[in-house]
Amino acid sequence: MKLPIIALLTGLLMSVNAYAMTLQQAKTQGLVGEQTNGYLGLVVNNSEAKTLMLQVNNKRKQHYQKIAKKNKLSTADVANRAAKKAIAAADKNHYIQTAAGKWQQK
Amino acid sequence: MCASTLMISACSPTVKIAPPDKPIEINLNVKIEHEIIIKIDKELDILLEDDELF
Repeated sequence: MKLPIIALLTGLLMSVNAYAMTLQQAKTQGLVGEQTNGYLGLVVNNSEAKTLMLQVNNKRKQHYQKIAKKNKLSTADVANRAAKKAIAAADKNHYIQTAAGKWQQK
Repeated sequence: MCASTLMISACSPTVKIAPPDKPIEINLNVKIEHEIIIKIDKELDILLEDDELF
């Protein structure tokens, strides 16, 4: 009796996992891109991508704040430095933001 | 003879110290900034490896 329930739950969890968009998928699909401020931006208006973007940006901000505090810098300074690195490290065809604020495929 | 005298005088270890009329300013900010950049670069490189962040 227990087994089918576990199987059902596992199946449900797996389907949720399969459904949830990963950051790498969102980048490859061109839904999100790297902005010049160190945070992700929405390239295509997609609610799932937007949720993901907000989650990722929130996590990034926490890390930036931690590094900033440790080195007595502003969070924006750390974020700007991260932006340069993230843009430089972006894969080919992933979207990056230009200095003028336009989206461009790398 | 003249040339050798010149050479000798050129090599003589005379050090003249003229005190500067202005206080000497040494700016160490450059080095400190550079060190901070290296430090945060290292920490950011670790972050960039995280697939869920970048």
